[in-house]
Amino acid sequence: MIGEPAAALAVVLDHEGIEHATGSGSSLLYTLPSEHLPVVALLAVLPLFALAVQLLAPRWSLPARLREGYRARPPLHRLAAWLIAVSAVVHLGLIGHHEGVLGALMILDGLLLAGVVGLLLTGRRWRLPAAVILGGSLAAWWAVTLAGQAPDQLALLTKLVEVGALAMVLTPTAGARVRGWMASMLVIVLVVVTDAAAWAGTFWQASDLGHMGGASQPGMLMGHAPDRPATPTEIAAANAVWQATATALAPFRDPRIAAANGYQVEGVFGLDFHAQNEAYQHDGRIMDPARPEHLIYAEGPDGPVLLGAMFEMPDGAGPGPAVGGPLTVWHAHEHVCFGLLPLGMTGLLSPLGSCPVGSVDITRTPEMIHVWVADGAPVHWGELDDAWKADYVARAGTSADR
Amino acid sequence: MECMDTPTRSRDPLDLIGVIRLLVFVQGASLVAGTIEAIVFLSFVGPSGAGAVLLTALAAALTLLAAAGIARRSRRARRWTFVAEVGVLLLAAVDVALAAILGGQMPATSLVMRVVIPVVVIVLLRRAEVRVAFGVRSAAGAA
Repeated sequence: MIGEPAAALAVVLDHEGIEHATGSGSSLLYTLPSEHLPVVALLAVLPLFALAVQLLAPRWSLPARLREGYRARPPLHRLAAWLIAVSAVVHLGLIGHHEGVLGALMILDGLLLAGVVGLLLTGRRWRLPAAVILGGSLAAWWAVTLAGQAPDQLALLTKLVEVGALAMVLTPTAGARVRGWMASMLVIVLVVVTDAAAWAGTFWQASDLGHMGGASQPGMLMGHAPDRPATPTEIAAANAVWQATATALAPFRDPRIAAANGYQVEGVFGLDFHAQNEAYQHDGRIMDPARPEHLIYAEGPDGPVLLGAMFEMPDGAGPGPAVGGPLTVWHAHEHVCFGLLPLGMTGLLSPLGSCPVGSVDITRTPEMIHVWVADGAPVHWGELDDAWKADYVARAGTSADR
Repeated sequence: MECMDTPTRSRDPLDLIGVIRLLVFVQGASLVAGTIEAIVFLSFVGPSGAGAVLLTALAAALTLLAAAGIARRSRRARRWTFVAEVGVLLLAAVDVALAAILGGQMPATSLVMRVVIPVVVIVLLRRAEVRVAFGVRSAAGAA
């Protein structure tokens, strides 16, 4: 059911040619790009190679030596051999995906990792070369990622594999207590730095390219605005909905009235507090200016300051109506961690694949759109600059003092 | 270094405990990273994230202790690890079900960290030679 906005909005919503705010992909952080799928398939080479060694060992000396070398190793080192081989195959499988120095380094890395597996299987000294090459591979990846190259799932998995392999390499023989503690601490540091580098690279690339629609912030599924100016009809429709919303929201400047209408306004903090109304979230109405699903408050010196509202599509209702064309682009969120103890958002899914303990992974939310009704807001729809919000809240506090 | 690089020729199945310890330790390290993330997110999500910080930090500490206990072949650590891995699998199942309902899918890293590693740890903990190493004599007494 559609709400009861202004007449102009009703006309636009009924128009068959309405555009929807869809089109942007998932953040690279949570994605395995299709061009990397052949590299994953290439990993099948490893069991085939193992099978070939097994079959040829009775007849040829090299396969026999490799088989014996593998069998002589303890389970931890055998697992390390597999993990290092996986990393080698991924690096070599990415030939052609990266150009210049980075491409050359990846080939070199792949060859060196393959060489380490060879050392391990032929009973030669392998731990020191493995530690150096795996450490170098991780450090190079941190540098590339921190320079703004967002990692995808293939990169993250490969680095997890390398961290695991390096942990095995560093695991000392029994009795080496101090070295064992140091190795353990180093593994924790490796995991934490890998995680931090993945976040940093993803956010930096998104901030660099996001304005051009090149990359989504992690957790954000941003619709691409149509590549054209808004038509007069769309401008009129967007203004009509905004005006109707601003009028309807005026009483909610007093948070007590919002609370009486079912909005959860307790504990307002920060510049972007979303006070939800559970009844309106389930009333089936779409973009009703009189019944927005969330009000947005900022924490002011004298109490909550109303900034705007957020319309949210009902569960499973699909994309939101872009009544104002490029002016009203909806967005959704992906991989939001929602805590159960207590109820509330706790973050975003980690590059390492987990939410904080006690939280579930909300893979995809319904679409939503912000509308800003604060006096003098530079934009009516979409994202509002935090600096402007902070300034507005400070001014609101000052005017209240007067 | 030489003795480390020399093939041991040992076929001692108890070496599997080293694999288990390492997998559990990597899970613990991942929880340490998760605790730091939860602390950073606290400034964005407000007080609702405080419980997550405490729970994740507690889980990280217990998991790292479990890894140390496994290295010492502690029966209690084995039992705790078994229960914790089953819990991780159950929560992963909840997330898979949610993903099926909401759309979207679990990333590959989630599947590895929350399904593959727990399954491998459980399978290894239930192997007969590992149970014996932990002093668990019968299958009925396992876990």
